[in-house]
Amino acid sequence: MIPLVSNSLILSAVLFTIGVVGVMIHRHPVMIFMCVELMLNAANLSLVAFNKQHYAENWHAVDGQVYAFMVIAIAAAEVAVGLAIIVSLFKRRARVDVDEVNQLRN
Amino acid sequence: MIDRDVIGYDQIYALGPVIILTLTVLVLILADCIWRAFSRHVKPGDVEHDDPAGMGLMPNLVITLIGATAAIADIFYLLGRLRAGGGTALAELFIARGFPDATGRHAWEAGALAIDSFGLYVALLGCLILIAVSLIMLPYLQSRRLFRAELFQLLVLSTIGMLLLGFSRDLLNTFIAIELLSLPLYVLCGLSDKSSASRESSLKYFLLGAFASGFLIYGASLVYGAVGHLNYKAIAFYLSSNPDVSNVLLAGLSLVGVGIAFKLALVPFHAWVPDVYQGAPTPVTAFMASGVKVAMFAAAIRLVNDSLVGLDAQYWRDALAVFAILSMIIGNLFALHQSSVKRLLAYSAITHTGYLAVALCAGGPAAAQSLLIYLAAYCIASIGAFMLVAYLSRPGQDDVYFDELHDLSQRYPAASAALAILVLSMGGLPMTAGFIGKLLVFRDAWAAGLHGLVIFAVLNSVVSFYFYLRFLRAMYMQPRVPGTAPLEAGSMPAAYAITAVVSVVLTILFGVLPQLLVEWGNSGVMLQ
Amino acid sequence: MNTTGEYNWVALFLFGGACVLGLAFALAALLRPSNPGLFKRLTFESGARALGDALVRFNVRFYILAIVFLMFDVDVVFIFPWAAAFRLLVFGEENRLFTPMGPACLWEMFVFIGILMLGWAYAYRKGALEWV
Repeated sequence: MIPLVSNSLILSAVLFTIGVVGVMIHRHPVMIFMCVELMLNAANLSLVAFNKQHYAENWHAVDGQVYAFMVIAIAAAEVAVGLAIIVSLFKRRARVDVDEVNQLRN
Repeated sequence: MIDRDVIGYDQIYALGPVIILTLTVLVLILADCIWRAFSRHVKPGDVEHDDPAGMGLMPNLVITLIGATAAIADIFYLLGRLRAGGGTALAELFIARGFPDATGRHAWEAGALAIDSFGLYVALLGCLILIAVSLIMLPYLQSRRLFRAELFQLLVLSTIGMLLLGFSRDLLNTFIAIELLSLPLYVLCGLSDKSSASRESSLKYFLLGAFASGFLIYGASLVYGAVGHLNYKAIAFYLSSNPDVSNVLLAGLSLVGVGIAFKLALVPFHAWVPDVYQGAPTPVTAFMASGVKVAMFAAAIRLVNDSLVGLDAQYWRDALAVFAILSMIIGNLFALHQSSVKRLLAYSAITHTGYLAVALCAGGPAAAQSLLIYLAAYCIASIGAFMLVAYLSRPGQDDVYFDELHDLSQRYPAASAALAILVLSMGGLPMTAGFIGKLLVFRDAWAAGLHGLVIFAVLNSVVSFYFYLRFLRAMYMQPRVPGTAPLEAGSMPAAYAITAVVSVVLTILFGVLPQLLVEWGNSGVMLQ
Repeated sequence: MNTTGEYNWVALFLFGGACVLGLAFALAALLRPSNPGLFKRLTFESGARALGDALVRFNVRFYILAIVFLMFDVDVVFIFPWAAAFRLLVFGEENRLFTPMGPACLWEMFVFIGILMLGWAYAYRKGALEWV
């Protein structure tokens, strides 16, 4: 294995873990949301790295890199929707905190 | 390890239903832009203030219905072609194949999208759900004075995601289709911007949904790392040719499983369901309860049947069985004492996810077929029930509570009878469609040797009658609580009445003449 | 061909631009009267008075613009690979005009951009670009 690839994979695993932990500990929707983006980008990084690992001698095969483009597009759509939802919450209250969003309960 | 065709343009006709719905969305957007191009005060998507009946929404509804009907016609045409051709799939789009071995034979060959009868039946269900939900949307919006024309675009977009999910046989495609299904739904949940419950459900659904999709795509990237491709057939081939399963692949598949379980609402990934179902506008809840369930189970059964066949069942079946058992227990337990009808139906949806997961555990073409039949019966019942909730609830509050249902049979006999029949069908009373679905699912699981799981599921469905019978007790046996105002729903709008009659008639028809539903499902068998 | 040679012109432009700018400032400093006062030292930005801290929360309205910007952002993600592969797709490896796939590859991008532009038109009609 090329060291560069395994290093990228370790980095992507670390990024993913930071994302997951961040989603769990942060309270502001925007921060949670940025951590989710971190998870998606970790997936992008590992897709590109795995592509390099599988097709090191065949530079025409760029499946993983094209998958990463698709994930970027999806992530952007998610950003648009997510920001819109958070903005619509902002319009009603000055402070947004997921702990305060607790009207629906058992 | 792969070789691929660039694109199958000659087979693009097989994507007809998807293309028709896409054109419908474009026409809706364009119409909204042009509609008020000369109006300075009204922006697209809003309806004039001097239009209390909301007739400005009519064109959008009509375009949506025309698009959905055209898509259904196209689906029947494609099904006809499929039968005439006699093959297993009408077309495979974006075909990839493994490199040939010494004899020149390809190890595997499969398209990312398979237009087969299973996918077409899922598409048919999706379009029918779209029609039903857009029909009940209009009177709902009128009664709430909530005029948002965008919601038709969003509904159709979400339906396109459902269709693609039914066809998809590639993890990346599945991911994109799930996102296309979910993103419009996040917005639709927050549709009624006057209600803070609606905005809250939108935020919760979005944050948890995005979290789940993060798991899904990271899992997919690990699968790509292990296999070198994301096609289900490639995964199956890798699994069958490598007896020692690599840990990377197992980790990837379990992360994908977590992502899908989130969307399926399997316990322990169910926390969002009650809040989102309760807070969302009721027709949107009906769409989530029916459409999302159909599409996600279609995706899950494809994943199980197409790619996990080569994997030793010990790696996934036990885990899935545990999730199924937990879903049944937790769903039932929490449903027992809910005071809100929508919340109760949400927990009952979790229980149903558990029963359906039993069919997933069984796997195989027979289970796919039973799953479709169960889902069809469940969709009919849940759309009808949520529609009745939308009809009965007070305009200011988007929910009905059990103590408001007391004495309902005296004042709204037809609506109470319909609600009773539909919830009993959800419970699986014999002579209703729900019973047939349960019977088939449990039969397949029994045949697959999952005896303990089936016995457990049957016991749970008996327990679940306790809370389904609460509807009957409240509506027929209990006098009104003194001091509570009675529900004033008024006369039933035509769209509600049509939906109610159709869902009740279908529920009883399929219950009495199950061969109709079974034959329908038989032709929807996933052929491989 | 030595491509690095072409970048020498860029360096020349940079150098020339810096010289012209420096000359202009130097001349202005020589010619203008120097008369600093309280109001002259204030930050001047579009006639608005500088108030408060730089670390304030940005107005929510910027998010709307950001959302509209995203559309063009993602647009480019797909157009760049398409443009990079365009010559190969349309003319083929032996430089034939229009391979069998060529015209489709060309029109596909127009369909893609058309759909995106429809979304942009909707956002425009909806007033997303107005400062409300």
